[in-house]
Amino acid sequence: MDHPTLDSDAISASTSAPAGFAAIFDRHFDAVHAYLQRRVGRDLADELSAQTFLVAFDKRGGYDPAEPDARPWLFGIATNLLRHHHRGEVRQLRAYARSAADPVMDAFDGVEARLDASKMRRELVDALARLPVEELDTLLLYAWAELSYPEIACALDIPTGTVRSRLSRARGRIRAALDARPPSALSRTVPEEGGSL
Amino acid sequence: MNEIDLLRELRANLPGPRAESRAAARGALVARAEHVQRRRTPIVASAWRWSRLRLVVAITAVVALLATLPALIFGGSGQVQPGVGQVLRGAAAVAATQPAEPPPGPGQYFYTRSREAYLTTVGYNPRCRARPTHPCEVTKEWSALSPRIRQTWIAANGAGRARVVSTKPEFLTAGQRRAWKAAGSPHLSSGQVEDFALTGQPFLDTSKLPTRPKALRKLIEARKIPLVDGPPGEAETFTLIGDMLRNTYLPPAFRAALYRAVAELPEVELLGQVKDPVGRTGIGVAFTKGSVTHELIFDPETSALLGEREVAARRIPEFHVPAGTETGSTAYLELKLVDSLGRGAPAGAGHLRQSVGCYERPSLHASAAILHGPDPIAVCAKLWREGVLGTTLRRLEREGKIAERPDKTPDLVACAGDYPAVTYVFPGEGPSVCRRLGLRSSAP
Repeated sequence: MDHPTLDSDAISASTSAPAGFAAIFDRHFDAVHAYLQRRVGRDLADELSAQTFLVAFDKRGGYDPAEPDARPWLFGIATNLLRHHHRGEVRQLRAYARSAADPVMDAFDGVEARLDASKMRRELVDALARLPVEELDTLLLYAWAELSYPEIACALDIPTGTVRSRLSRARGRIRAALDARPPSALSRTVPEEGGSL
Repeated sequence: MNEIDLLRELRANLPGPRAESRAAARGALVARAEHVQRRRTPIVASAWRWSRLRLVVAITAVVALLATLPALIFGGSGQVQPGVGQVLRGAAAVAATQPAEPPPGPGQYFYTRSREAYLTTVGYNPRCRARPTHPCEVTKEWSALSPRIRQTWIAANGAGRARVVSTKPEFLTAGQRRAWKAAGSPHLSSGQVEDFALTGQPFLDTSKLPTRPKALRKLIEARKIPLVDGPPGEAETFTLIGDMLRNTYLPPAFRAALYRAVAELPEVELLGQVKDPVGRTGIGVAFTKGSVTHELIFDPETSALLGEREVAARRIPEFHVPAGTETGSTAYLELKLVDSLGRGAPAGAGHLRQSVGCYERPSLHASAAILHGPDPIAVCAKLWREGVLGTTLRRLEREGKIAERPDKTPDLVACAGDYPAVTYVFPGEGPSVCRRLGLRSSAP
């Protein structure tokens, strides 16, 4: 079956033929799941990514047909769902920073779940855990979901200027946390200070 | 390397979604889409039913998945199926997207109809058949399931009514029927109608409860949630979660957390697609303790609890039933908001009637008299004056277990607990008495 080329067309068509919304799932599920999995781990990502598309389906009538790409909209829904789990996410990040074992990575049998001995990476994780949730969302939509400023603005329903200032503040905080290290560290490859276990 | 590059290295290259997770999520979406499509054909339904129909069908796909996934993913080898945790997390995802049920408004009642069947065992002595009232040692017994239809109407303040109609008992085995005949075929009650006024049925308050599954499970396991109490053990925790799931008025996020909490219980077994006690198809999960398996069956479309069932995990000698026999069940048939108490409501139904528990000592385990009255302190003070209360204390004094008993009415303090229509009155002074017992000081 041929699907409309643009997400906006597929979503519009799904208001009269609901089953057509599956095309949106097929195009974007993996990206949404990958982002959620990176933030909260595999099991919760399974649940939240399924929820994201159910919520999106329910809200498809309100989709702006002028937006050809549904990714920002879907990531916005996923971000809203993530907000209910922010405390858990921060706890996981703190556990990672403290123990060097990443609870998210530990869930994968097939992934090398070694202890991360890089002090810099643990400081980075600790800094992430300390970010206000709005800045964390903005930063990770940029770095992990690879959305542009206007796309993040669309996802979070905020002006592009706010995206810019949030991102700038978040990067500043991260840099400040890492600047406690020797200045050259930022320009080097991540050091493996204790080796892997 | 700048901080964004560092960040991009973090948790990079994780595997993509598991095929079964992807299939379950897609199936849920397609099922919802198909449901919406079907809904466009007008049907006659109650307002409540419409609100349910507006909701999703979500883990229908999970049901389908149970049957088809191994073939889809593993080329028919049939070795791998979704785990119980995954199915329950799917149920949680569905539960979380359901709209909240509104509480009963003024003049409204939360109406429920359920069918329950519990095993009743009757003892007899064949030699005493001629003189049934004569006390006789029981030498034989027969058992049967006694199905009953229970209806309740409960207002927001907990007042309401209940009607229980007994239906024809069902013998578990042919041997039990023979035992009943041998007992002289005693009359089996059927069609009997009992009406009760309910005074102060409490609703579970989840406003201060966590929705993180681990924290919630911890509270349930510690039996620290008001109204959610029972003996220790994981089987009871499973049962208590089932008890909570049947409360459809709970917020969607909390119901989702309950499903996730079940998913975290070890030893929960996935039954897959099963029939509930009245033949509806659902997804079953179970927990076995000793000789009994407790099953919870939920609706794949809405995550609502369809029913519960207790099944003999092995032969139960005391009931003379083989393994696999259903020894008890409840099916939740209907729930909706209604505007009246219906016909045949008994006197006093729908009105809160204040109960007062007058305790002899500041302990919920102490001897107590339960009465009714508008002024709890006055009600209990009268009992103390009349010497009705204090009998245990007098006995303890006689037995030398306490030094002296109070010879006059002590100071009394009124406390409030989980049941809105019950006031607990203890001897003692000040609100600290209530706090020590896990209660609140009752407003005068």
